[in-house]
Amino acid sequence: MIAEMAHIFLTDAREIPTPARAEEHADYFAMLVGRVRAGDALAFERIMLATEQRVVSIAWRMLGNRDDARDATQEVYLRVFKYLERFRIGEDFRGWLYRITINVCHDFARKRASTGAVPLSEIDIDQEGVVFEGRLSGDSPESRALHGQQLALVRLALLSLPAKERAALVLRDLEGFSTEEVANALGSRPVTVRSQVSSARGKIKTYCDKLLRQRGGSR
Amino acid sequence: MRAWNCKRMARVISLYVAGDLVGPPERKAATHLAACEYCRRTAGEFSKSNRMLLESSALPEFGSEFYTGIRSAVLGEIKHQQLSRRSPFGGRWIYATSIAVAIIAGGILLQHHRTASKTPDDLAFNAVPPVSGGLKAVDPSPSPRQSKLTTQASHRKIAVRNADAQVTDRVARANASETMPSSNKIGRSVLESGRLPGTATSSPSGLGSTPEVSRIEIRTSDPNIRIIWLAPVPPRSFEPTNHDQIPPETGDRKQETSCQ
Repeated sequence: MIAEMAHIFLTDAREIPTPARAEEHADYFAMLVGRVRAGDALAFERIMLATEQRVVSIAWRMLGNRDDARDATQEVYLRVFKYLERFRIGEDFRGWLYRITINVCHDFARKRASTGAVPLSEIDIDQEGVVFEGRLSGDSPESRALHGQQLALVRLALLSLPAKERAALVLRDLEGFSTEEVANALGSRPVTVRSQVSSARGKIKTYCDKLLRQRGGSR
Repeated sequence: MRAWNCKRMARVISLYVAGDLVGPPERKAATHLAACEYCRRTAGEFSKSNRMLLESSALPEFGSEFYTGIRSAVLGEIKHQQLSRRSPFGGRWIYATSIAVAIIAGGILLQHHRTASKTPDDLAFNAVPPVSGGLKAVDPSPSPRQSKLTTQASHRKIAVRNADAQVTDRVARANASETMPSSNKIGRSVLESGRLPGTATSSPSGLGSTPEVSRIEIRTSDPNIRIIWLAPVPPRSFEPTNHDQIPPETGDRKQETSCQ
C-alpha cells in the first residue's frame, strides 16, 4: 500500500515543473520548501526526486556499501522533513542538505565503528559494480583480480580516514564540488578544507604507493 | 619572483595536481616542477593515486527500485509520524495529560494529608467525661510526639474511646491517691481517672484482647502542661478491696503540651 501511495506521489510530483536554468535552482528549492511547510507532500517528493541521487552517492562513498547508503539516505530525508522549519529561506538548500547528509554519515560511521571495523568483504569492489579501466582489459584474469583487490583496499583506505578528511575528500575529489561548496557543506572555511583535502590525498597516496610496491614485488 | 624549494612544493603538490592552485602559487609550482625531477615524480604518484581513488569509488548502478524503495520508506515514515501527531491521544498529549493528572493527584493527596493531620488523634481525651469539674477538654489536635505512639498505646486509646460509659470513679480515686505528685512545681492538680474494660463485647473494633486501661490526667500549675497517665489494669483490680494492687509503675506516661 505504501508503495502504491509512493507511486501516486511520484506520478504527481513529477508534474511539478523543474527549473530550466541552474541559477533558478535556489528559487526553485525555496518555493518547494515553502510548499512543504504549507503541508504539500508532493513538494517534498519533488525535493527528493531532485536531490536523491547526489545524496545516495555521497552516502555510498562515505559509508562504503549499499545497505548503509540506503539507510543513511532515508535518515537524511527524515531529518530534512523534521528540521525543515529551521531552514532559512534564501540559504543554499543543497548545501544545507549535504551538511545533513555528511552528519548522518558521520553518525552511521560512528555507530559502525562502535561495532567494529568494516570487513573487506563488505566493500567488495565487483559487487558494487566498479568499471575497470580499459588498460586492464587485455590483462590476465589474475591481474584483473589483483587490481580489483587493490581498488577495494583503496576504498578501505578512504573509509579509514578521519571523518572530516574523508568528507572533504569525498565532496571535493569524488563529487566534484568546489572548495567553497565543500566549505559550505561542512560548515568550515575554504582554507581548512584545502588543508583537510591535502592531508587526505597524502594519506591515500602513501597507501597506494604501498599497494603498488607490493604488486610490483609479487610480479 | 622567488622560486619554491622542494619542501615548500611538497606542501602544495597535491593541491597543484588536483588543480586547486590558481594565480601566482600555480605558476610557482609549475616552474618548480619543470626544474625538479623528484617533485615531478611525486606529482605523478599523486595523479596515479587520485586515479585509483576515483576508480575505486566509481558509483555503481543502483536502479530505480533502489530509489523508489527509499522514497516509499521515507514517505511511509512521514505519513506515520503525521498520523501519530494528529492523534488526540498520541504524542505530546499523552505526556501533557499524564503530567496534569499527576499534579492534580499530588494536590489532592497533599490536601488530604493536611486534613488528616488536623483530625483528633487521641479521641479518648474527649470521650472520657471529666470526673472533676475543673478539668478542661484536651485540645484534639495532636502534637508531633503523639503521632509516634506505639501500637500498644494506640490499642489502649481505642479501648478508651469505646468504653466511656464504664468509667469507674472508685478506681480512679485509688489511682489518683497513688500517683498524686508531691512536687511543689505542681501547685494545683486535678485528677481524673477511669478504668476502661476493653473486653471483646465492648470493643466494636474487635480488639478483644485489649487490656483494661486506667487513665489519669493531671493538670499542673502551668495550664499548658498536663500529665496523662495510661496504665493497664488487671481484671482483678476491679474488686473494690483490691484497688491497691494496681501496679504503680507499669503504665505509659505521656506528657502533653497543649496550647489553649
